[in-house]
Amino acid sequence: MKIRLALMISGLIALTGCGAGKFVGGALAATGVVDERTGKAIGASDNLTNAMKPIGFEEEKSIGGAVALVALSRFGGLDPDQRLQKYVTAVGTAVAQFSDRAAIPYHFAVLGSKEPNAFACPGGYIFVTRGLIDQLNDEAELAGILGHEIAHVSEKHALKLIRKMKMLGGTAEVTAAYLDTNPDAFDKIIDETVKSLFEKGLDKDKELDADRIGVDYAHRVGYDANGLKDFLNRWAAHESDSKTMKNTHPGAKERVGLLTKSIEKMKPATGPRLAERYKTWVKDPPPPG
Amino acid sequence: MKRGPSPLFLLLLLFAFAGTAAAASLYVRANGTELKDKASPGGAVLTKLDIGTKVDVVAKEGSWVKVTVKGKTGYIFGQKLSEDKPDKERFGGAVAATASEGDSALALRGLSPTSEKYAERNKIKPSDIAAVKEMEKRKATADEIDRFLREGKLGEYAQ
Repeated sequence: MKIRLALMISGLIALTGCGAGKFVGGALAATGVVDERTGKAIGASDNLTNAMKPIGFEEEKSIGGAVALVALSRFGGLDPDQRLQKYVTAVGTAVAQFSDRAAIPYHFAVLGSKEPNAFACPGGYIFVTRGLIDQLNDEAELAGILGHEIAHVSEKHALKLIRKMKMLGGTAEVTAAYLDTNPDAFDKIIDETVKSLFEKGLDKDKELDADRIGVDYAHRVGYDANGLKDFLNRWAAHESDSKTMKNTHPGAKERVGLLTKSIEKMKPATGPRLAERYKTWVKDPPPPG
Repeated sequence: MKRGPSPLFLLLLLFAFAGTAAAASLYVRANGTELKDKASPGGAVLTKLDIGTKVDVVAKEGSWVKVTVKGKTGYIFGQKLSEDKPDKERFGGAVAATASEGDSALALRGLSPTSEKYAERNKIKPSDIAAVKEMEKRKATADEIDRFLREGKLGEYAQ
């Protein structure tokens, strides 16, 4: 009888503790104090941790730095407009600070290519092309796109891909020393990562995840959550204009459909669009002097 | 005949533990997160908190959360708090602690020797190597981001 009672009490404590924690998280999320994703994070983070065999940040940064070099060489180098570079860095840094991986430094740049696209390299190197910048109407759209790219880094999508390569090669662990002393292996990792990021694209599920999570990041900052969706809605009519965008991302219509469902859960989803600020920094000529 | 605990006893127990668990804990999402004396952007900064710092929730007030942390009670903008503890990364603590000040040995180290050797082997143009280094050096400081958010009515300045 005593044993039975003790078991019941301990079970009740466990149930109550867990349930109450989720209740508080759910209540804060429902009222908009914390985001919906955070409200569901406990179980999800356990799954993520179990699925990931970590590649350290030092190794990630070495890989990302090399992939960034390829991005710059393939997509027209840096856009010469320093004001634009500064502005994109400010928007991106603001979004990154509200992300789930704010511990690492992020680096943002506008590439000179006129073909609309955006890329995220491991280690926090984020690129958007001049061609994409020219397609956007306001800062909320830019924040949604940068949020998508930051989500690729925070969710370590490319690292998960590299882990698969590593398993194929039979290597037990990717350490800084391994990368430095095995140039052939390092070059193979970069080649495969470059193909995935710039030619074939990541898995469709990862892209759709990045949409959902990235929009949440932008919304945490306070931007209108519809930014990315509104751009994709316009882009659906021009998808064939960018071969790389078409090859590296799922179709715009599908993305819009799923984003619409995610955004419906955000209350309120509205926020500043900052079209005037975008125009001032991106489209207007710089002030004299 | 064996008898279990009474339903009333279990109900009281449930309420007792629910009351305890209501004092939920959250974690600071980014370095330099401000604990303020009021639930307002204009509140005085009591202290700045590091990423991953655990805070105990006292109450919700609008878009702010009243918390107790390190013996102080104050307010944090709700979106700066997370239910799951952020990963500080292997070097993340050191990087993030100083990144807002614009310098850190790791953050400024730029391209790793391994990346530089890759550039050499693959005949990457010096201008592209310089571009990555320029990209790494360009930073928005904490003050610049705060002003950027204030001017855009974003973050804690949202209306």
